[in-house]
Amino acid sequence: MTEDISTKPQVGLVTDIGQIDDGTYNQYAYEGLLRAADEFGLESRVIETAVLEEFESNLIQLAKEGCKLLVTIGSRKGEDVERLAARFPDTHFILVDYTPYARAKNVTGLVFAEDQAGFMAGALAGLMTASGVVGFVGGVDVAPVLKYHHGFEHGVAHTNNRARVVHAYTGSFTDQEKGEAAAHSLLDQGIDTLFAAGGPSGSAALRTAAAQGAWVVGVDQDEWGTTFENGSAPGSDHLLTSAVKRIDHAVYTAIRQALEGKLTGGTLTFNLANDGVELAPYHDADSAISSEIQGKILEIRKALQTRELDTRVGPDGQVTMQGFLPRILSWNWQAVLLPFLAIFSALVIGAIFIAAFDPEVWAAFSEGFFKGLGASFSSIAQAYTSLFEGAFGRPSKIIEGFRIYAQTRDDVVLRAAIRPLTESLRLSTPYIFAGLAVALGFRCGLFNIGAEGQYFVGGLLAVFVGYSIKGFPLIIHLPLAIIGGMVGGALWSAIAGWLKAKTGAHEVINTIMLNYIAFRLADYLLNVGGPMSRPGDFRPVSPEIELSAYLPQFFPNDPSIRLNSGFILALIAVGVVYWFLFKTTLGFEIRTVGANPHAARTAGINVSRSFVLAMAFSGALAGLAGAHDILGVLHFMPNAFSSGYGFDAIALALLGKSHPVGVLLASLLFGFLRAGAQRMQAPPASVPIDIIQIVQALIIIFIAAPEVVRLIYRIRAARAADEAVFTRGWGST
Amino acid sequence: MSTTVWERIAERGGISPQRARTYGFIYLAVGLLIFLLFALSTSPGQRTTFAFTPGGQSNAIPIPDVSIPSGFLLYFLALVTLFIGSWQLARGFRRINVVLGIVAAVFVIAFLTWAARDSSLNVTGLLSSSILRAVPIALAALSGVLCERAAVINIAIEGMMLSGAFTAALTASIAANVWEWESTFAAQTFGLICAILFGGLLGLLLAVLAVRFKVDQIIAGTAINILATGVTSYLASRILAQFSHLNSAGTYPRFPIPVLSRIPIIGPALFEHNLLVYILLPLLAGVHILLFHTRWGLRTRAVGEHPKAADTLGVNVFKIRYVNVTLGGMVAGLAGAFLILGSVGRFDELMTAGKGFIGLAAMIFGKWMPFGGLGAAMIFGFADALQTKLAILSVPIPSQFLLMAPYLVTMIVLAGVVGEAVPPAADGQPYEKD
Repeated sequence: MTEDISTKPQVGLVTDIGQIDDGTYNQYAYEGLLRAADEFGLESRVIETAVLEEFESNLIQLAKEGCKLLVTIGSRKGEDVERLAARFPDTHFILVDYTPYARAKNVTGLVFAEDQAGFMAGALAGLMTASGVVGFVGGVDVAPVLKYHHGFEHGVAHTNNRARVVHAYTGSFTDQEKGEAAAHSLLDQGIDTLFAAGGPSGSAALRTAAAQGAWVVGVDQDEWGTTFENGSAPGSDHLLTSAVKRIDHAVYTAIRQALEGKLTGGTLTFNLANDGVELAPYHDADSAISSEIQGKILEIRKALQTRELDTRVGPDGQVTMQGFLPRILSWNWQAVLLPFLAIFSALVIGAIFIAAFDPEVWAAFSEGFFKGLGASFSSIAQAYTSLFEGAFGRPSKIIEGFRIYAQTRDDVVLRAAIRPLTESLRLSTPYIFAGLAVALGFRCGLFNIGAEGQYFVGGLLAVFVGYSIKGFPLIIHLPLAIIGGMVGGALWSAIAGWLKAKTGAHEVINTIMLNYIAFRLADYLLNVGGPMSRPGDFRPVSPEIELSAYLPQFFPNDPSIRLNSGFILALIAVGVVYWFLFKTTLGFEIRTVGANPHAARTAGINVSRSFVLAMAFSGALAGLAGAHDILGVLHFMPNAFSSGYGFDAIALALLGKSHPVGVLLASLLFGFLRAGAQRMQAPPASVPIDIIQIVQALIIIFIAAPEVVRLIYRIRAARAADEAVFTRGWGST
Repeated sequence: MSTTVWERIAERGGISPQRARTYGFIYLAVGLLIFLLFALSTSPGQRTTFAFTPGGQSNAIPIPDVSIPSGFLLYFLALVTLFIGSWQLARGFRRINVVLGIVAAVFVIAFLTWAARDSSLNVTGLLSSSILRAVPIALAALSGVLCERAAVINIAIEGMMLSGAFTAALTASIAANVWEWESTFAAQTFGLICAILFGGLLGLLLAVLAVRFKVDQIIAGTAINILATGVTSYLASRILAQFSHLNSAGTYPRFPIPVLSRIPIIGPALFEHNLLVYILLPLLAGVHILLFHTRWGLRTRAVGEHPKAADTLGVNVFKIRYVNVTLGGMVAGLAGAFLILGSVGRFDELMTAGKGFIGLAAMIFGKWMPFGGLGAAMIFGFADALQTKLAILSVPIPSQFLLMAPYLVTMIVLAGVVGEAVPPAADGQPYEKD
């Protein structure tokens, strides 16, 4: 409609809460917009957001009215804007202070090298301090503030290695009283120079400190003109300078690039080198700063510009470490420690089960307590030794094998020695597929308990393609059979996804029901005389697949080593799922739906489609597990194909935190456990393989309730844990 | 103008016009199916015999079998269904669910008539066995009701049943064969109590995980399911497989209720069961009264719908959830014990075969009401019983497809074909005190 009024291209600005003359973000974004509009002959449109709830509708309004470029502040609701952008592919969204998650062509984030500005402020503070104590007041510990903070600390250390930096966070960008209180507490600690990055809250701290005679450094804009009212406010002669973010310049540059067709999404970084950040003039403090110091600051500025000097602050505001040891130390150890302890605790309880139900142990206890204790110990030791040897093989034998191979080139002993190891990898393969399947579902907020059924149906279709098609070369037949497995699994799970999307029926019960139906279906098809049974055989099995549908083996001459190229396929699947989830728009949508389906729907994402697609992809992966076991290991399908992968896969996804790489590691662990358990089942240990299920259930409990593990081992919680939401109540979509 | 007709029809049934029309077409299709599949494939001389006296000993006053020409009955049933369908399309029914039930029943009768052509079908036996199969499902649904009314999703019913079954089998056998109790009844009751207590223990575990540790309830439930599967299978192969006298609990004897069991058809179907079956009705009635007519029930429902408000009014949300989920676990344990003491007599690995999950579906279908769950459980029980009967009648349908029936029914029910299900508002959400 508005195009009738004006033929000029439109650029729009939707403010963050507040008006365009707020003296900070909104105002500078507006100035950048005006400058660009003026210079390039654009029509500028502005909506001022009064309350947060209106923010999104304001954006929608401008986008609908034909704004091809929309500028806004991204720090508060950037993710919502990103979702919105999917709905308006013709509008380019420019977000100040925001790093987009997904790579969309029409979303550009403008980020600033606050660390560089902070570094320079710190360098100046380090040179100016007499007491040797300088202070930093932060608002909320978001990335831009952290970058100021850590840049400042490193800057101080650069020019004055004896100075100490103390800091305080007010927890707010608006609370002025807290800012004043923070300033007082730092002054009590002896600071004589203060840098604050915390909006009005931080500015209050600066005013307080300046009134007490400390040097202060402003932030974001030249606070001489705002907080200190062009020098008329008391204490303005104590404002050294300000670490300035040139938002106006950044907005102007982004609009210019857009008009030149150079803006294609992602982030634009503004730093000292492209005038994105800088130090404000010294104003009233100019005379107090010696020309020597001023020269030094210019040198540092140049060194930072040319990257000669590094602020050692990462884009997330965290200190980047140099050297191996500091890196290791700065690692989040709890993330590794908790799963490790979960596995360890589960194995300990498993050991109790092993000893408690061993008839030999009972017999020993009836002879005496200590005899019983000894028998328990040897029972557990025997079981877990078998487990280890079944999983990794006997180390001495492997060494022996290598020795013989090196001397005689005879690999028979070596092959026998590494067989358990290859078997573990072989057993890990379907786990990887099934674990990825459940993890993908979790990412969409779907709980796919039916990996078992999808594995079955995938196996059925793979074996059907494998034996019924004849005369094709491997290069055609094998992919066809693999795709068959994927399609089978995908169709089976898509039923549950579709039912959830259309009727809200909970996928947990439906996938379980589909499991039972799949078992019956396989039973019917494979039973003697059934449509897919092997003619003339008295066992309920399918015909053998053609040689051209075999997954190639790693050791074709040694059939006892069953590791095959399916393992490579599984590793590829890990990469593909990672790419899909984190690098594609569809993956982003699925994760958005998983995080909050209501918000996703408001943002215009087709939630139903996400459910069906996520479920289908999940099923396709589970189907691949079935295809692997058919095409790579068995080469036919028995009616008793059941494996327990379905439930194991849930443990895998939880253990791997629904991250593809995590799932890979967890799958390797379970593959080794399972291979070991098979050995453990045989004499001399003779422990039923079900023990593994007990261990797995306990791992799930300990992983899902990390508090339990913390309680047992007296570990304090590290940070506010960001534990993912996996599922929701019945039928809430 | 045609839309107004549809709107009027829909108004009568209280459903959307499109849905009303869909129902009409479904009924017509069912009528056609009866005609094409069943009626046309009978030959003139075939007769279906319906027997009303169960096999074996029975107290009921015997009544004679009824024999009807199969073709005649099937044509009649097809006509009835087609008429109902046309009426639905032309005028519409007011009581939409009742009509849906009637059509479903007609279809089932037609199917049975066709399946038992030239043969005999024992109606009373079918009903009796439906009830026997419905009881554990109804109990499972009741367990779900107890938990979910307090907003804790209990997906672990399956595992609790399995554990209950295992406990009942083991403890009853120990009492009878190791401690050599004289009374089998006492030993079985001991097993029953142990199973209930153990179910309660697992309920408590779920409550601790869900309430205290705020673990995602579905994940906690799944973990308990896997744990129960693992532990029972492990112990079954470690203990029960080696010592068969530890897995011979047996079943409670049948106890025909005097007088009532003499009524034809109803007597043998309802009143000639073992004691555990009779527990069901008082239990359901008890929970119903507790839920809807006592202070505890009011508090439970408040916690399920709006825990914050309940908390403000001084209700201890955590305590209510602990108590309810533990009770739910006990009922699930009872359901498991029923599989042993009320029907099979010995434990088999994975013997629950999804009954716990079907119970959850029954709970949803029954709209989170104790007796609603029973009604739904009857449908599942019937589908299950039917499947075994048909296997005997040598119907030309592979038995595997008949075995799928209960699972398919569950999915159809969940899809909300029959009305919409609204769970307690806070279902599945952990409660955090401010």
